[in-house]
Amino acid sequence: MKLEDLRKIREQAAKELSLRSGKARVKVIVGMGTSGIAAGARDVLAAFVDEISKRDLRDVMVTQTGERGLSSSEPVVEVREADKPVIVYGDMTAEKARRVVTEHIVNGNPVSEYTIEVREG
Amino acid sequence: MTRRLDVLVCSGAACVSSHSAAVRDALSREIDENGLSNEIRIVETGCMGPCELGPVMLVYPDGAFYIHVKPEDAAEIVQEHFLKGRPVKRLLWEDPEARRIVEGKKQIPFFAKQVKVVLRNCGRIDPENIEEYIAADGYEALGKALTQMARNEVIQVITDSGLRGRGGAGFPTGKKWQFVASATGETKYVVCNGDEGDPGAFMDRSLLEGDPHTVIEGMTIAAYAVGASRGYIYIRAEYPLAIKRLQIALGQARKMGLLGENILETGFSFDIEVRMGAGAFVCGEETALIASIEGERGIARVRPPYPAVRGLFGMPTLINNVETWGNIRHIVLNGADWFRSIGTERSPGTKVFALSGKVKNTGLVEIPMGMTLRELIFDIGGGIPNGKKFKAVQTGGPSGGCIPEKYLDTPIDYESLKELGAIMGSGGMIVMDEDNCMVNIAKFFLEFTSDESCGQCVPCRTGLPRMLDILKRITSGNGTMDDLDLLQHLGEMIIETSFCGLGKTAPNPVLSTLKYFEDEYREHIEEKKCRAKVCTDLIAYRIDEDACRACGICAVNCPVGAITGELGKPPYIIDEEACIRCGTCLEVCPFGAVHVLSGELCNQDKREGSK
Amino acid sequence: MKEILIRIDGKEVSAPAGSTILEVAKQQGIPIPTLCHLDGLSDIGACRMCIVDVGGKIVTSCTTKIAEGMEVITNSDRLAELRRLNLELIFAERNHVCSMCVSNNHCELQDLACDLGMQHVEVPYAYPRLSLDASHPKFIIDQNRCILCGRCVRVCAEVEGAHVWGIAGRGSEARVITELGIDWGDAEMCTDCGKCVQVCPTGAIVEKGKAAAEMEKHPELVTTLKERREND
Repeated sequence: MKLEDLRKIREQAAKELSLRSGKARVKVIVGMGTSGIAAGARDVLAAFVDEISKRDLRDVMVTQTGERGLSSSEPVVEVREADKPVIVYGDMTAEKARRVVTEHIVNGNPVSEYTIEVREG
Repeated sequence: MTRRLDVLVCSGAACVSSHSAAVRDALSREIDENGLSNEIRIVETGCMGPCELGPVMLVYPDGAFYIHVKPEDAAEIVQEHFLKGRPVKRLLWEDPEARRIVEGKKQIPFFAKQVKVVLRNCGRIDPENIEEYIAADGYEALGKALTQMARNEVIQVITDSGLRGRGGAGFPTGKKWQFVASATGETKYVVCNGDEGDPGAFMDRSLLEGDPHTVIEGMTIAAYAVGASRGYIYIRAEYPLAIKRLQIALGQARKMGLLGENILETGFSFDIEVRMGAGAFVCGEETALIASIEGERGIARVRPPYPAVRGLFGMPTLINNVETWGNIRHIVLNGADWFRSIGTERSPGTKVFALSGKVKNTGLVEIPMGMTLRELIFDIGGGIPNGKKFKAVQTGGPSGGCIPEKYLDTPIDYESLKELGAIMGSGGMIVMDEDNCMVNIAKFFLEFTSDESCGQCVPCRTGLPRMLDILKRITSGNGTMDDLDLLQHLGEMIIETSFCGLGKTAPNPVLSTLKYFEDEYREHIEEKKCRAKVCTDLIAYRIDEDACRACGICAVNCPVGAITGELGKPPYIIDEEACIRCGTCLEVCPFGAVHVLSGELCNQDKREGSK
Repeated sequence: MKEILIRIDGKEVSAPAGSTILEVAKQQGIPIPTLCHLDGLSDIGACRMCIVDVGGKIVTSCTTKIAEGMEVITNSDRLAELRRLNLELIFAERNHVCSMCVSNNHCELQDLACDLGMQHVEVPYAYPRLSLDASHPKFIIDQNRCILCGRCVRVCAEVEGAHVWGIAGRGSEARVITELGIDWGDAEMCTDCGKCVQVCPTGAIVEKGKAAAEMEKHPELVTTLKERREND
């Protein structure tokens, strides 16, 4: 094994550790309270994770939170970016999740039709 | 589908002892049952630090830090936290000061003031998985040294960094490397001293268990720098987990071409063998360690010649401590200036301590040199539990000294501690409160060192047991004031004339307590009083007539039947002749009617009793 | 061989490189007390009696080689005190009762006590219970009088080549042993040469059949032997 090979292994392995770095450009927080789960939050979460890994977006972290009090709009997802307002999406589905990844997270244009709240981070 | 959660379960030896394996199994079962095994991975890591809160675990990416986890908590954690995103608050670390629950590891004061260099990977990666180590920049420093640096450049960066031996003596590491590099011999050896023997110390064990590759990489870099072809890791046989993980790590490194023949295809070859010691304290002394690796009786040898010139099998040998090795790759990768930016001018870098004794947060900590003892004990350690008063801190284990409260603002560095009659040592730090008797503490350490003396030279072999005899005399109430002078003379003589470092430092706990706590010695001698009520020959248990309700619990629990009385008719009475001073009655009395006396009322009959 | 210049007790002397301080002192007729050292055997620095002051540091003269410009002091109040306390520790460690000892009047330990003016032992005595092995047909090893100088171990290994003697145990549990701790009488490696008896500085290893004060020893036999072998 040469040094270049070692570095290739590192690139691969670094993905494995990215969860533990705590450094993420974008944080996607899926509401996973009882009503969120009942409304399909698990599928939404899975879709986010899947899409993000497909696109190899290593600076995006998907995490979950509990009940948020917006039961009527569940599943609710929050997208946080440094120095930008927090975008809250409501009535999410797996398909919508994939679109949020493409348009918002990759291209930087929040999907206004799903947005239910914009607030200062 | 990729993972969304990493669950890091601490499997350092302390957490293993508190059954972290059962917690891991329960979690893994729950994760499987909930169909989450693709999304969540359990990683077993080395020591995370706060050992007394074990088993501990850390959940990423949110950084929730769970303590005292039991297998039966697994279902709740998986359901609530992993599935619904609601961390189980009752199991999260609670900051005792702020009385609030801390969710993120970074906010916990125990971690906030620490600077992790050597322990960077400890508790963060799976020590049995070389790829995780590689991901954390593992073996990059070795690659850099082998491909971009000349041998003398590697030595130069270590010299410039100002790194000093973390085994305790603080000898400049770069200088040691230079000696070995310029020595001549057909073979040269690199040795890792993992014979950690101080009571209460577990820094080396934790690093070897939690991040074995860091040590291997450091040794390999050194081997390249000094021109060595073989290495030995000398480690206590009492550290089976560390040995196992080291063996796994060595095997993985060899398989990947990071150890053995033609490392990273650069033509450089070096291999490491693990040698187990039988747990003799003296084998931490480098010449005794060499004798032990050679298969001889583990006793110190005459220096000079130093091991750098004539060491293992008569060849130039570079010996560094585990923690010293742990610093190497970071210095090679980040440079001497980076290293010097941490710590103090004369003691750059960090130091790992095993914090134990009367302190709220016991465990493994890494701090920048120059931090004061007060910050370490009160900010990171959380201070003294149960509202007790701080009395002293012992650094350097049995070779170190006890430092009293007035020096708590002393910065932790080699010179400052030495000035106080203590030493930096390998990193044992034992905190004592008002319930500790300083004479008894001195006796404890001397018992250890006299037992661990190899028996070769007179002052250590026979001087230490005589000092112990005198201390026993004092703690049993039979000491005289002349004994204090004798202790002082003997201690100084043993330090001055002993063969090796063991004897040259063993009297320190006695001399430092004599210096800072002479009044306690005097009380034991003149008043037959032990103010901490520890020395059993100088205390007596009494039942307070007015407080006693004659419930009889004390009598039932007394293991020697020394308490008599009639139910409902106070008071019960303790027969002092029969009493073995175990303290059971004090613990069980529901009315606080049992008191311990020392040097007060009990003196008269005690003196007669001992005759 | 290269000559090195040192100063010993204020006197400038030159000696071949590689000499120990003890050797140089001897040549100069400067007495330094020794116990574990014996001419003809390797030096181990165990007894600490031969300590000297080199530039303020206490070192054993038997194991310290001379270096250019070295300043050695072989006697001072401090050195005398350290040596006397060291000697007291040896006496307190085991059961040295001169009046009952076969080596009385022919004992290096006793001689040292006289030379150094040791009048009493200040440190507490240990009074250990120790064994005596009389299983060998000709000799006895009495642990009560052993000072663990290791001369028997070295003479047996370095001169006789039999490697019968060794040291087992740690700290105050350390004992000289024959083979792997079996009775001396059963030690098949022993050649019955008696060199250990002759070099033992006290009454620990002695010939059978000697009454108090009758056991005279001849440690100088090692040098004589070595000289003869070299001349052959």
